[in-house]
Amino acid sequence: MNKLLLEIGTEEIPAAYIDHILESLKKNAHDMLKEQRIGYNNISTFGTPRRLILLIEGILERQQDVSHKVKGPSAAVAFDKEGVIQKAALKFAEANQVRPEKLIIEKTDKGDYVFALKKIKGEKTELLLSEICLNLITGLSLPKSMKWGTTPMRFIRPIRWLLALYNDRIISFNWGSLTSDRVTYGHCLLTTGPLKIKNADDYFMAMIKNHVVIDPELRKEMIKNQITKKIEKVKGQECIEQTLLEEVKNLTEYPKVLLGSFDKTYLYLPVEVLTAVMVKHQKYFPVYENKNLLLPFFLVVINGNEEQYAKSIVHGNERVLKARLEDAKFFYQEDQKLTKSGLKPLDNNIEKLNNVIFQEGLGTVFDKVSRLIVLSQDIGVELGLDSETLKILKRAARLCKSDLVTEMVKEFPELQGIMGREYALLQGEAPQVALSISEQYLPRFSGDNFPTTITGSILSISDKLDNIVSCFINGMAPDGSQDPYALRRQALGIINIVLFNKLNFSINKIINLNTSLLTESKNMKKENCLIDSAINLLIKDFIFQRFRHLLLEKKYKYDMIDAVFAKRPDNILDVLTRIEALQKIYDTSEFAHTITAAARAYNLSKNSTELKIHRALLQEKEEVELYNTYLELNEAIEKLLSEQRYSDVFTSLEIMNKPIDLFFNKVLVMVEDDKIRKNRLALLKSIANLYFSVADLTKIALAKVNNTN
Amino acid sequence: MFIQDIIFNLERYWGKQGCAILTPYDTEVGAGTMNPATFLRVLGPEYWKVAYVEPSRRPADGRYGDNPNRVQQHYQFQVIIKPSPENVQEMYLRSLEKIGIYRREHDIRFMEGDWEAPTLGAWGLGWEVVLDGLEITQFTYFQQAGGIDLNPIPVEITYGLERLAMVVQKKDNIYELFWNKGITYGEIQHQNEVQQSKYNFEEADISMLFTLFDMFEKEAQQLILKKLTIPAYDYTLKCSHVFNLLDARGAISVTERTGHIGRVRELAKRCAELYIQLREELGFPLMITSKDKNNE
Repeated sequence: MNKLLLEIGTEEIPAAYIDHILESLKKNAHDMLKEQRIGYNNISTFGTPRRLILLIEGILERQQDVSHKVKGPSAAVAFDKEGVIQKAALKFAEANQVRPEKLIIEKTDKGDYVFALKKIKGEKTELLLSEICLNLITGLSLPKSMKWGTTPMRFIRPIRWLLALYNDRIISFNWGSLTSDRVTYGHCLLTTGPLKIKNADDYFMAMIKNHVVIDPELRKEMIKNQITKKIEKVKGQECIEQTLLEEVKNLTEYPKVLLGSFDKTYLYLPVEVLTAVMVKHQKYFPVYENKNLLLPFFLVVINGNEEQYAKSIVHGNERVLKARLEDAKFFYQEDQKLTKSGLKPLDNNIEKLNNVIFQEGLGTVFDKVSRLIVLSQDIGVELGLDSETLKILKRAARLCKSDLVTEMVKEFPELQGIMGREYALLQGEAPQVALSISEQYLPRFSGDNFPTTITGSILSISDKLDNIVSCFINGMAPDGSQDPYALRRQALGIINIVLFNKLNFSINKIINLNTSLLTESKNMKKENCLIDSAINLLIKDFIFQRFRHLLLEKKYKYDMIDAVFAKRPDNILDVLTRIEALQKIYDTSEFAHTITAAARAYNLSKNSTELKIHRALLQEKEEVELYNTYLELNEAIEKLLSEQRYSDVFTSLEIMNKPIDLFFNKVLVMVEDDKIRKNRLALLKSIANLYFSVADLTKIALAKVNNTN
Repeated sequence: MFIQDIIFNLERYWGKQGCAILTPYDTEVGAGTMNPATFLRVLGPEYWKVAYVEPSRRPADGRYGDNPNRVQQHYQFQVIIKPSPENVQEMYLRSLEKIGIYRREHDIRFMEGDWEAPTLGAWGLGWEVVLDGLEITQFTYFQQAGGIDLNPIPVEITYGLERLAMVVQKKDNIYELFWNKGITYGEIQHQNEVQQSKYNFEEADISMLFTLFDMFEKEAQQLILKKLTIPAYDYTLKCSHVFNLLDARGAISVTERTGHIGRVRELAKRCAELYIQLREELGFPLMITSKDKNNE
């Protein structure tokens, strides 16, 4: 079986990019072989921080042959009337290296033409591989690239060697000043010197012998198994940080897990602080006794080593961790120093927020906190919170950014909110105040938890909305695929919190309030800001665009969404209630009836503006009947609408269907008499409006079908 | 191994690799990168190989001599080679052997760590080198300096001398390190930390420093107009240091901060552009010739 092996030897590629690059390598190889008509059995990729590997097995000896048609002269020119071949056709055959009798005639738009069926014989695959290898390297999609030395080439990190073998032979090509060869290197710490490789099988053996585990998945398994064993040894709970695992599998060529420990007096620090130090900064796996409790151990994944040095390596890591924990302990104490003199550190920090910039041109975090207090109170009042809860909300909003200037958060920014919660509890705040402070940042990523308290939810919505509004005003709205401030994620966060906690309020009002708070702020540099009335609408549309995506993702039909969105709603929860009401009746025959009736009323009256109905001008029995039904329903539906009972609105509307059918059967609307015609149109228009009180039913797909019929 | 022996051994090793062993600069710098032997020399097509110790001042990092790991002035060992050699990682690993750190005995990792100096308009890609969990070196392929794309690309290796010494001497406290047999790091540096911290955080005269910043900036600007890029760059460094002092003193408001960084960057950028122009007028005397290449 023919095998092509390509190894790109590099200096350490950042762990986060390796999986992505290998995927791109595999896909490009597949596409390129297909394009080149080269058959094969299997493509696989492997990689470590120091090498990217491509193996293609079962490559066919030759490219596939192809034939394609070449258009020649028209049949009339190529043959005379007796069918004898003419000079033009002979020349054409010769030029295309086909025998004249093999020419064929085919119909085209412009009449009959002569064609030559030209066969292209496949090249020997081996002759094409140099170019393929070169193109694979150049064509890789890289998240970042750099230059080095004097080479004009770019890659994610410097390439130091290229190995390319087709069975036993070198596939020779040049990339910058490098030439491909049959030479590779083993583990950079445990082996030295180049290795000469015969072929693919020999390569894989050489990697094993020289301490390189080329398969990321295998390295992951090795790490997992070793961790499980070590955790068992100290009776910890099996709990492996998945994101860290994905990262460390690509940090080594030969992973080995070592167990270290730290002084258990550090365990009094919040769990999040301990894990931030271990996971984020040192890439250590913490060991849990249970979900909320750590054991004074850690696991470090090293880049392979001989057993005899393990102890001193562990010791080195323990010393580093101790210094880090000592720092954390110092910060923790420093941040609470004021408590001793009876002061509240978080309150004391509010002033300091004047020195923290929120966004260039938009003032400080202090200003932001002032806005969050007003915004969150407004939402709270809108939601009808009692005065006690409003007080909690105000307190949480006032303190919510105070932890940004603590030593701990300055050192570990990812602990924002969490330290706020811890320090709030320590200075004697109500638990709900403390919890709301940490919940303001939820959800931080897709799949993260939502705030569980009403006050945390409101604070989180206010914070996210203020980020969105600020960016829009500052001219930093997302553009195409560019969304550096993750505003789309934050908009989605707002929507999800609203839906999760069933928060019933109008967002327009809050957006308007937010923009006016921002534009009135004295610290705002007005010259660079986009302030006009359109901005509020733009922001609302931006949020509702995310909402539409979410609804489609949740498999709601687009026509239902369109029908409700056409009402230009601004209450997220209300939109969902309306859509759900539509969903409930969507497939019923009554609804089809409603839609038909509504569409008729609407189509007839859509150009009329008159809404005033004169009782005295109603003449026919059916007309009076319809009017009475309308009056009755109008009142009932108004009440149902105010209670957001949209399913009941649709049930009520069904009552209208029969009288309106009778009306259309018996009464002519477009009569000569101006007054009577106008009166009937006014009646129909009022009825159409009633029909459309929950959603614009013309947007429903069924209605469209009816209309075209 | 004493701190001074670490310095001697690194100097001897990099000297053998063809680096000229220079001395620290005589103006306050925040890092060895700011020494003109790095910042100016990495510009343009000329080749360059140097190594030197650089006492680096970070006023805001001061802890009055109380913290066992943080100081407002630390010592860097800086290596610059332009263009970056093919085997530079191997050269680096061998340099560690000269101070008793053998790769077989440790876990040495090159962890992604991109580097940026906003006041210099400089950035590069590379790694933090981590030894048994401790960051001991920043290893960077410069891509830009003074906002100018570099070609060829230099490699910068910056060892943290105190960090290395703490590993080699197995100490947890910086002040307990031995500089030589007779004297500790603490005996040499501790009072410096105490007094400078007090100065940086409490005593620095804010209005004088603001005045100095403006004066230094003005001087740099007029020197640039006179095509004297090297003294102009000295005044740029002074601006940068004064800015760092003001920042540590908490005197720079949020709005002023970006403005001041921008002013220093603008000076650095103009010095860089002028430097390349002046070197070009000299015919880029340190361009490698084919004769040199054959000797390599």
